[in-house]
Amino acid sequence: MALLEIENLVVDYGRIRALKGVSMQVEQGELVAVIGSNGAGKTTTVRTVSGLLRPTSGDVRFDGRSLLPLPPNRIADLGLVQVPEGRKVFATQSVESNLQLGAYLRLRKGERRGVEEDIASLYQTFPRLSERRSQLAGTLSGGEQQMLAIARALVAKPRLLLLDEPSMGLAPVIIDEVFRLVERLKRSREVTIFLVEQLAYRALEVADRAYVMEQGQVRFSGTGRELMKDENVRRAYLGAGAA
Amino acid sequence: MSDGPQNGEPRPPLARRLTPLLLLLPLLVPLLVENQYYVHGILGRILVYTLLVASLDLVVGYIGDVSIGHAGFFAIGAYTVAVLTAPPALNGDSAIAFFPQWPFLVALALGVALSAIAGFVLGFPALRSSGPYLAVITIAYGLIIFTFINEQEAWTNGTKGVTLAPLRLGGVSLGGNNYIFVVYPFLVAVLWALRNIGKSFWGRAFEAIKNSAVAAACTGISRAYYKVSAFVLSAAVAGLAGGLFSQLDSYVAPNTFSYNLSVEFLIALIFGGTRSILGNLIGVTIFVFLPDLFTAFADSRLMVYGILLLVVLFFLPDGVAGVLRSLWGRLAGTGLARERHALAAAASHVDVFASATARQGDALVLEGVTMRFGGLTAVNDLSLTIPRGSVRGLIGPNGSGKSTTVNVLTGVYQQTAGRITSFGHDVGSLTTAQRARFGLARTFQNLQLFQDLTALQNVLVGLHQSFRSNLYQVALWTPAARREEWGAKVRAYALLRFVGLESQAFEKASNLSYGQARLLEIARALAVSPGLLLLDEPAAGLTSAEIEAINAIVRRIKAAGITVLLIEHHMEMVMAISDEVTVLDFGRKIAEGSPGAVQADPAVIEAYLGKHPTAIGAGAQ
Repeated sequence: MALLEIENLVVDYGRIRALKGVSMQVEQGELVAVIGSNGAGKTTTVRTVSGLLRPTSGDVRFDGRSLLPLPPNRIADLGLVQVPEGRKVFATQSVESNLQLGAYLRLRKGERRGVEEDIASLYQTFPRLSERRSQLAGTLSGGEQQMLAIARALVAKPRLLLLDEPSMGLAPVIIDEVFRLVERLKRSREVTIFLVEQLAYRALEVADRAYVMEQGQVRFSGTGRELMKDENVRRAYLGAGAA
Repeated sequence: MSDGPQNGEPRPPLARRLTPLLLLLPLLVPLLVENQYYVHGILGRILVYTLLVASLDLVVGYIGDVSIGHAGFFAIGAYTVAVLTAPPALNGDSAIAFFPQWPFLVALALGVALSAIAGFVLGFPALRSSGPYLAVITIAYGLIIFTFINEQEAWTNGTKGVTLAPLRLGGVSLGGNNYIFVVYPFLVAVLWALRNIGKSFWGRAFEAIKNSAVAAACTGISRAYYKVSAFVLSAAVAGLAGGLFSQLDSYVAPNTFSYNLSVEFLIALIFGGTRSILGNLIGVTIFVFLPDLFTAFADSRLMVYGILLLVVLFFLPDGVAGVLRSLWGRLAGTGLARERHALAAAASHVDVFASATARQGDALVLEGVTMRFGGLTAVNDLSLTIPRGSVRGLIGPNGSGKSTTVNVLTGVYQQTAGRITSFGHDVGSLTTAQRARFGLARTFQNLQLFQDLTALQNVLVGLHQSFRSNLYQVALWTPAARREEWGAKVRAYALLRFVGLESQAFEKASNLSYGQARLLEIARALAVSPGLLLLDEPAAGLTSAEIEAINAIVRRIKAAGITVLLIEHHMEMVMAISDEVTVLDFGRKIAEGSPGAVQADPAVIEAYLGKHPTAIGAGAQ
C-alpha cells in the first residue's frame, strides 16, 4: 500500500473545474514530483491533499485512511505538512517564533525538549537562519524565507512533506540552493516528499518519479530520468508545435 | 412630437400605463378621514420619511456605502426652512436676532441647496474610505450638525427650537391634514425622478462602482464623479425631506435630529429592502407604525420590536422588497418576452463594429517601461510595439510580470519609468477611466462582472460613454433620454448576440456559467468601442469547446480591425490565434516573434522548464 493515494480527484472552484479526475501514488521514502505549466492544477492537487480544499469527488488516503473527513489541522497532525506556495512565513514574527509555531502540534503534546533539540539541529542545517533567529521573518530575503518555510515544516517532524513551488519568485542561483536542500532531504530518506514545481527539469533531476499535469489532468508519468529525455514534457508546457 | 415608443421599443400594456393613476389615491385620505393623528401625524410622517429613506437608498443601495449621518442632512433642510420662514411673533424669547420670513418655497430651495453642498463635502471622505470606516465618518458628520443646532443658539435657538406658522395659500390653510396636499406632490415627483435615474445609465454607473470599482473604471466610469454625485443627490433629497418635515409639526428642535434618527432610517431602509421605492415605503410604514402596534407590550415594547427586526432580517436578508421582487420576477415573464422580442428584431440590423472609430498609428508602443515596488522590479525596461489590427500574445511563467504589465497598461499602476503610446497618443499618465474612454478596453482574469446586474445591463455599463443625456433629461425621462436608452439596449443586445449570449440577456450575471461569464466580459469590453482590447487569460478554466468558441470570436474581433493583446497560459490558444508572441521572464522581454519561433527558442524553454542538465553540461564545457 502506498503512503499517499490520490484517487480520481475532482475539484471545482465555484463554476470552474480545476481537477478533472486526478490519480497519483506516493510510496514511503519516495520523492514524487508533479510538474506542469501555470494553471495545470498542481497547487490545487497539493491543497486538496492537505485539506485546504474540499474535492467534489474522489478520495485522498494516507496510510490507507481517507483524509477527506479531516480538517487541515488534523491532517497536519497525521504528519502531512505543507510548505505553501509563496512561502507564507509569519512575517511579523521572528525566525525563532516561526520555527516554534511550526512545532505547535508537538509542543501541545508536551515535546518541548525534543522540539528544542530539533530546532537546534535545524539551525546547523540552516546556518543563515541561525544568524537571523531573532530577526523578523518578513525582513528575510526570498531565498531565506523559503528556507525558513521548509525548516518550519521540518520541525513538525512530517512523514510526508508537501512542497508547493519552492522556486516561485526566486533568482536562479537561489533556486539552485533550494534544490540542493531538497536533494539532501531526499537522500536522508527520513521524509517522503511530494514536490509540486513548475520548473520541470529542476524537479525531474531530483525526483524518483513524476507526474506531468495539463489542464487539470495527469497527461503522463514516469521516472525522473525517463521524463528528462521526453519531448512530450516540453509540449505540455509550450504547446504541440514546440520542437 | 410624440412621446410614444421609438425605434421599435415596445409600448407597455394599457393596464401598466394606467397604474400611475393609483398614485392619486392617497390624496383622498385627507378628504375622507378627519382624524388628525392618523392623517397628519402618521401619513404625513410616512411620506416625509419615505423621501428621506429613498435618499439614503442612493448611498446605501446603489453605491453600497453605509451612512449613519443622514439625520444631519435632514436637519440642515429642516432648520433652513424653519429659521428663514418662522414668524417672530411665535418666537418671542428666541435667541435668534432676526427672522427674515422668506416664502416657504424659496427657503425650501435654499435648504435643498445647502444640504447638497454638505453632501458634496461628505462625498470626498467617501472616496477614500468605505465600509465601517466611512460609517464612522458619517456618524461624526451627523454629530457635528447635531451639535451645531443644539449649541449655536444665535443661529438655531438651541434646545428651545423654532416654532413655525402653518402654511396658507390664499385663504386656505395648508396645515393639519391639508399639509398632505403639499408633501405628496413633492414625494411623487422626487421618487419618480429617482426611479428614472436609478434605471438609467446613472443608476447602472452607481451599481457598477458598487459591484466592481476596477471594472467600472475600465469601462470609463469615473468613480469620483459618480460617488460624489450620489452623495450630493442624496443629501439634496434628504434636505428636501427635512424642509418638508419642519412644516409637519410646525416646530423643530434638536432632539429630533439625533444620531438615533439616522440609525432608524437605516433600519427602515434595510428592513424594506434597497433599490426599491415600494421597499422604502413599506420599510418606513412598518417603522412608523410598529411601535404603536406594540403598545400592548407596555415597557418591553421596544424590545419586542427589536426582536422582530432581528427575526425578519434573518429570514429576509434582502428585506421586504427582496421578497416582492422574486414574486414579481415570476409574474413579469410576459413583459420581458415582449422586450426580448423587440430587442431581437431591432438588433438584427445592427453591425456591432459599425461605430468603431478609425485610428492611426501603432495600437501600442511601450518604450523602456519599468515598474518597481520598493526593491522589487516587476517589469524591467520593457519595450514592444503592437501594430494596428494584429493579435499579440503575451506569455511568461508565474511571476514573470504579465499581470503587472496589464496593470501598468490600464493605469492601475503608474510606471516608474518609460513611455506608453497608443495610436500616436501618450497615454502613460492618464487614469484608468480616461484610458478606457480613449479606447483601451480589457477583460479580467478573475472575472469582474457586475454580479447584481443582468447580462444586458453589464454590456450597457460598457456602453456608458455613448450616453449623451444630462441628469435633468434622465430624471425627467424625456423622449430623447428614452430613445437613447432604447438605442443602447439594442446595441447591447447585438453585442450579446455577437458572443452568443443573447438568450441569457435578462439573466443576472451571477447566474451565468463560467464560460458564459467569460464571454460576457468580452461583450462588455467590446461595448467600450476599443481600439485595443486586452484579454487577460480568457481561456482560464474553460473546456476545449469553449476555448474554440473564444478563438473564433477573437478572429472576428481582429477582422473588424481591433487590435488584441492576449495574456494567456493556454499555449494552444496563444499559438493558434497570435500573429506574434512576446515572452516575459523576471520582468524582462526574453523573446519575441512568430508562435513557432518562440516555441523553439531555447531561452523560452529554459524560462518555462528550467535549465536542462545536458544544456548545463554543454554550457560548462
